[in-house]
Amino acid sequence: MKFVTQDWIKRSAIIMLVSVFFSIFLWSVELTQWAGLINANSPEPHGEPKAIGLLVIAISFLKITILTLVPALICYGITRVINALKRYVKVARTA
Amino acid sequence: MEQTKNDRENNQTQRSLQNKSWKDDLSKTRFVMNLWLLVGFVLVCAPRATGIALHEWLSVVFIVPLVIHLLLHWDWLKALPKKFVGKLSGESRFNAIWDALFYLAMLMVILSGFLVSEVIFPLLGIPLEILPVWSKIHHDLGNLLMPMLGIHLAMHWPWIKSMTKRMLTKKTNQIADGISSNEVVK
Ligand code: HEM
Ligand code: HEM
Repeated sequence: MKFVTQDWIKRSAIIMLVSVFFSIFLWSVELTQWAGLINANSPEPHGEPKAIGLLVIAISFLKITILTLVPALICYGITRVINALKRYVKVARTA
Repeated sequence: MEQTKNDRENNQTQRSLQNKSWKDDLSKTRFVMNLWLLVGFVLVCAPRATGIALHEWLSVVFIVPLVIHLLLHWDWLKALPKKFVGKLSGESRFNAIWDALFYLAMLMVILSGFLVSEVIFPLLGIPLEILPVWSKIHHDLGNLLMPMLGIHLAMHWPWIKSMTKRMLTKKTNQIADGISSNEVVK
């Protein structure tokens, strides 16, 4: 735990301060024309479905798994292709 | 100066205390904390399963492992400004840009989450007019975080693989050290 607690008060304070600083900037999105357009054109906020069934839970976690794993696999595939190409170029150069 | 001293200490600790508790080893501490972070992220991403009230409280608690994740990469963060000036491998540069975008997206989701809060803010008695634009941002970016995490994890797959092996075996001395992101930076 010493790695987490090392100088943690100062460091966490810096992280939080930087985050609050950026948040203020991000908040200003509200003032843009784009935000105004969305606010003006949106229907009344819909009530969230209250029922929490087993199926809803299963679908939620399935959605997270797919949305995370599919891009992960594609990205991993691309890094392997890039590394293979690099190795190929290296071998071709030295040959 | 301080950074190199810390690094040296960490590396020494890693070598001499391989069989001790995970708390004495930087990579193992990262592994354990990353697991908490992942569990937290999955729970926070399923508001329909947890219900909105739990979603809001879990998201606030989730800030703790998130800050710990950054604390455990403090040296990496400190080196970040230099990274763009110095000559770096394409992969490290991609990681730096991706992590910065991921950080901003996460910040925006948390900020917009507070601005559409249906439980915490009313409980605190803070009047809040929920603007549709924040609902849209929270909904769209919240869903975008999952593929962003997928790419974040894929970029660290070699570390995840070797560390999982290391955590699962007792004879840690015989297993090659996990590729600590600390070492990648250097
Ligand atoms: C890492 C942080 C967070 C993530 C990843 C996240 C993710 C999500 C997702 C995916 C949804 C569902 C949208 C949908 O498909 O219907 C949602 C809804 C919601 N979240 Fe979050 N959230 C986070 C933080 C927060 C925080 C801090 C709060 C408030 C304190 C919050 C309040 C809400 C509310 C009230 C809803 C339902 C209202 C709506 O859909 O507009 N969230 N969140
Ligand atoms: C939300 C869930 C997240 C999970 C599960 C996760 C997981 C991981 C893993 C497994 C690693 C590699 C191992 C390590 O060195 O610890 C890593 C590295 C890292 N993560 Fe995350 N992470 C998450 C979110 C974030 C966010 C939001 C940021 C924001 C900046 C971030 C920044 C970093 C950095 C800077 C590194 C080191 C990068 C490097 O060495 O190239 N992570 N993360």
